Amino acid sequence: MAVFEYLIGGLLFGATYSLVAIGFTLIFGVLNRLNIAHGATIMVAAFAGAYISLRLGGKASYAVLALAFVASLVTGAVLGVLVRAVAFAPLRNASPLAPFVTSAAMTLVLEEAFVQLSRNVPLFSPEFSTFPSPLENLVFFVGPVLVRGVYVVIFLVAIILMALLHWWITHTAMGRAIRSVEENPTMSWLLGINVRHVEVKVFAVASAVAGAAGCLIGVAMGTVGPFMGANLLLTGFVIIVLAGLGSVRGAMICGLIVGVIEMTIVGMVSASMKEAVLFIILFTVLVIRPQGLFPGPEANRD
Amino acid sequence: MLEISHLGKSFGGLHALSDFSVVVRAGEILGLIGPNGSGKTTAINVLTGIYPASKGGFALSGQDLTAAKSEKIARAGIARTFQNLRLFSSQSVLDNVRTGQTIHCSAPLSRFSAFASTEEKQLRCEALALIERFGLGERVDWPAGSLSYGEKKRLEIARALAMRPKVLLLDEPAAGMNPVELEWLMAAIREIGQSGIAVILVEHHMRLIMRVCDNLAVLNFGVKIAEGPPSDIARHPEVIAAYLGVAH
Amino acid sequence: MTYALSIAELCGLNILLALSVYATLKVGQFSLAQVGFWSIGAHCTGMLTSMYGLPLLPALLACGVFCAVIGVLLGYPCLRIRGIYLTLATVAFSEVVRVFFHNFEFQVMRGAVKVGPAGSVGFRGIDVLTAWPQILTVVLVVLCVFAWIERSRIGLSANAVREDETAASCAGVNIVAVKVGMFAFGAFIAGVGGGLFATYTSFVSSDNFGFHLALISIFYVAVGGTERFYGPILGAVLLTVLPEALRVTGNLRMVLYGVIVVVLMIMFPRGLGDELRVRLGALWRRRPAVQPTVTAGR
Repeated sequence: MAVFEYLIGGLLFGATYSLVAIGFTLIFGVLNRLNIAHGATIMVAAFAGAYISLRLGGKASYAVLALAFVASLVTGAVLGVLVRAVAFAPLRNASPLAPFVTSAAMTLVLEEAFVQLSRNVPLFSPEFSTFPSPLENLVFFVGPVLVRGVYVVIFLVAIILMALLHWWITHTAMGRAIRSVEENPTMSWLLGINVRHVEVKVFAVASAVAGAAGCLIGVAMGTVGPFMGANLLLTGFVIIVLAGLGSVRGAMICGLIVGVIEMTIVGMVSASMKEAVLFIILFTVLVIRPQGLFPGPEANRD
Repeated sequence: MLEISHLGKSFGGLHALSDFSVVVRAGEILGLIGPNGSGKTTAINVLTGIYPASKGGFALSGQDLTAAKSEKIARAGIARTFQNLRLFSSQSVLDNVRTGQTIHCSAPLSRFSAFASTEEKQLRCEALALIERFGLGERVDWPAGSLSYGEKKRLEIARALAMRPKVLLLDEPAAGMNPVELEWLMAAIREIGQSGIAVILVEHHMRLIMRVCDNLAVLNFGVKIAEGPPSDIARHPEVIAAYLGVAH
Repeated sequence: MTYALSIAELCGLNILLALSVYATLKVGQFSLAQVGFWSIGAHCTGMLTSMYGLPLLPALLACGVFCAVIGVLLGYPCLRIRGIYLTLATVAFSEVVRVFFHNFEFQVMRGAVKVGPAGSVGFRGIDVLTAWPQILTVVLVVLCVFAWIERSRIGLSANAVREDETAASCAGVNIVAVKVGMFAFGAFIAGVGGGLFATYTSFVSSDNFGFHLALISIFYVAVGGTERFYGPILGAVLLTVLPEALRVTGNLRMVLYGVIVVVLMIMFPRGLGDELRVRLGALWRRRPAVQPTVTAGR
């Protein structure tokens, strides 16, 4: 019985992991670089949502919750564009090591900044600040299995977002431009696509999606903390490698898979064992099938 | 003597090379020609261990190298240049040539400058001599990436010769060269042949091919359609059809 | 004076961490596994010295060799993994090591006290056997080895492998030996460094040897320079002294640290050491530097 709770809970919560991974893999697809600051972006956006909720009495109001969600989206997008401008744009000609370091340093800056913020802003508290929502205690039963209402809500929101994103990538001109830049940036540039424009849009959208994930996770856990992004980043690594670097569809599916694995192991064994299992999976995939479960066509990258 | 027997390489359903057989003797210069996509570079890649052969094999002086890795093939005595130039760009010209000497260095820990062994000093002389011979004497310390295109092509050949090979595979060495450099290249290739090294020359430049090669092998769609001295090949109907098409 | 000395000792330890990362970077492998080896070295040396009474030098050597062996075992499957995939694989290794020691409990009685790693609480009470003489000696030895490598055949082969594996392999360089060898060497340095760290601070906790430390170890090398061995040294010293120098700014210390790292990387993308070397070298000898290639979107 407990197994079903873990499976369902994992599947539902896994949708937020999918959102985290999608943003991460979109940026990798376009730039061929990992955005280490992605986790920190999630964290900052989650804090933004939590702030709205704490300030405007989110415990009892769905409207405030929706507002917090929008705040997270916007914060994510803005921060994403900022991260690109500071950590990636000046270093486009440098080796991959350089933007890795700058985005990692930005993560450090943001985490430390929010540690200080948590201590000094009265609404927050030093270790974990709360993210109140009316969904906190909502539960219902599917047969004998207990399902947390908040998980269902975040699952639905996440699915809607993913559907919108999928439509955007496959059916719009910008989406086509993105896919062409993913495959060959120089050629796209020569064909008249404004690659910088595409990058900014991708960062904005990917980070907005990350922000949404941050809000949903914050609501689901009921708390936010300055280091919540760090764990999500590592989980993100596992998901995108399992899916195949750059594959958005793969990220969606593998996020759910990882959510199920995680929740099952945490429930049945222990929390730290979950991390060990996930990373062993990561390593095995890289050795046996580095292109992941959903490999894209061979990109002709610089 | 390099013996290639029924060599084949397929990528999925695409047969890049089929049933390719040829023998190249010491000092012989074999031209490997054919339209684009005929499998010439694939053949070179298989001969240097970059792709494993799908069928058939090849042997150097009786030593079967068919499934060998690139390093082993290099040690056996097959060297190559690359169509798209693969130099070590941030290394100096001297260091590029020295890297080719790795297989002749018996002590992997040997130093270059202070405490240099006699062997290293000798290898350094050899490297400098090669650099001079290829007209790069002024650029000894320059990073390879800062050389002109023609200089880079010469450096690649120098690096390959530093390996003291028995067989040299040249993949389109004349591409992008001006007439002066071409004359130099022709003389250089003849000299290499005269020193006893077997050369396989993949080229599109017909004048170079005709004047330098002892024998030609012609590939089309991965299959050898003709083999013989340049004068015969120039008149061969199938070769003409492959390059120029058939008159209707 | 003691304050300056302890900063210098910390610099020495961080230099070792930086050089262990540099060893793998020399063959083009961007590896975050060294933090895992640092952790293994710290725990094992702590156990050997404090639980079994081994003197420092044999304990360090044993740990170094142990880490080198694990490095070889790790290096082989990683041979075919390139670029960012390798980085992620090594992150996985370090995280598994972290989780392992987080749950590892093994204590013996020494006298009246229980000594040993105690899982999530950490490993307390390690005998303090290390101060600046030991750190300095190890750093100097490692530096000598790197100085030798840089001007020898091994350095040449490593550079060739880093620039273009296929061309290096066709030129006769033994790719496997070079890559696995440098990987094991980096593991050895990290193991010994971790051992020195444990016997210096007397307390280790596996949670301190996680992704954050891995990122910091990369900072040292990236900020200092990746082309010559003095790059990581410069980076480690600079980024060890920096947080101390920033103490005057109070709570925003680490925020400023991060900002400075970002600014340094943007100003000197190849690392301080390399930028200075190239710019001064070009000025001195009037030799051109390699031109950067054109990429889209400029």
